[in-house]
Amino acid sequence: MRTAPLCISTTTTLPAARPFILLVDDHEPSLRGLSEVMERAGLRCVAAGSPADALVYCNTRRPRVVVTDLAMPEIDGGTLGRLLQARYPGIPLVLITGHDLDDPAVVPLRSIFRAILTKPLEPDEILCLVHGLMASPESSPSDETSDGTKAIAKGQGGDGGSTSKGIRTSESSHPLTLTE
Amino acid sequence: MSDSECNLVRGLAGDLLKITASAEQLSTLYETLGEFNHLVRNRLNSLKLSIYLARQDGPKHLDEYWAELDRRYRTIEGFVERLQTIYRPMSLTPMRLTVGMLFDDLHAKWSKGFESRQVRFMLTSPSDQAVGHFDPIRLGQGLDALAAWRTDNAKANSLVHVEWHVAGEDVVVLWREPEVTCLPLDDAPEGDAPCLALPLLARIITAHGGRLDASLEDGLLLQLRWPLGACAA
Repeated sequence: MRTAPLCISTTTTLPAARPFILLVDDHEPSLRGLSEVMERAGLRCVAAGSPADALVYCNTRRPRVVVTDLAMPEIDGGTLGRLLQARYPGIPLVLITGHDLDDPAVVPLRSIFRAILTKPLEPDEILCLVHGLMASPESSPSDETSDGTKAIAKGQGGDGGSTSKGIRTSESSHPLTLTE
Repeated sequence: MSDSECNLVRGLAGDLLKITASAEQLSTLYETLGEFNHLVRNRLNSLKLSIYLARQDGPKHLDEYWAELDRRYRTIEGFVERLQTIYRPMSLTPMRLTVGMLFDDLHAKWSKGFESRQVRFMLTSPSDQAVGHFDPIRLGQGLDALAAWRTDNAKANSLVHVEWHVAGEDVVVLWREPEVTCLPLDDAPEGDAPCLALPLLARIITAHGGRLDASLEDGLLLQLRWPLGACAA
């Protein structure tokens, strides 16, 4: 159990602004696979293993697009979408779910998410969608820190792009770590 | 379908056919498999992404094997999708349409499929344009699954005759295959998943307030019947 609030920290100055996608899924193999598919398609990703980690990350850096799973423990993808929509209304949100699109649990979420895709995902379909959203002028300016131009430098160094708290960034030369 | 009719088909498909007739059993199955559903979807998702990535990295001369792997993967994904469609609560998106439009959309595709297997196919429609209130996507999905299953299993030079008409307030579809003497529902090629076309169609027809009956007394006869105004408020 966490006894102190999480914060994002980095040992280096973050690179110049580059749009990125925040991926959120508690199923690690799916998260890793989707992240890899997107990176190979030239999309920069940050992978979060839980909505809590994703929210902490958004406090520090603003994604251009968020792609989140629905069914997750503690905070589900719908709640995460509502929170992100309230805090950062310009970020397009995409939901991925194992539910049917007309499932009663999914229907109320249509107003929050720009798109809802069912698992198993069609890789080409989600790539096309995300490329479009990344290019959309409606997307809010991304990759800005919420408190300035440089992320907080605090805590220990990273592990080359993979962290102990489920946040992973494809910018491996600038590792991010979560510390408590 | 009655129990004896369900027994015309074997294995999982036959068991599911019995369950589609009972809202209570469907509900129990849904509750039992709810968590399993989430688990399976996640695993299929990671498997699908892995296959996609591995194929990108794989040498080109192995394309034939990747295609086979992809085909087998999609068979399993389709099976899970169909199974879940059967046991999940089914919501309908009704539209007011002529019944003929439902079959017009399917006719060309079915003809092409049966022709590729050298099966004689006939569709007989009434001249009048009965208007119904139903979910054309769901009904099309169920009928199409039936046609695909029968396309895969019909023998060359055999006859498939589909006739639909309106009787009273019901749409009636008669699917006849005179040469068929048994329904080998579990005849999926080795390594492939059972078809489940018949329980899927039964589930969709039941959701429309109708029923599916089957007989093998004089060849295969499937009778589908659902109210014209199935989804009318």
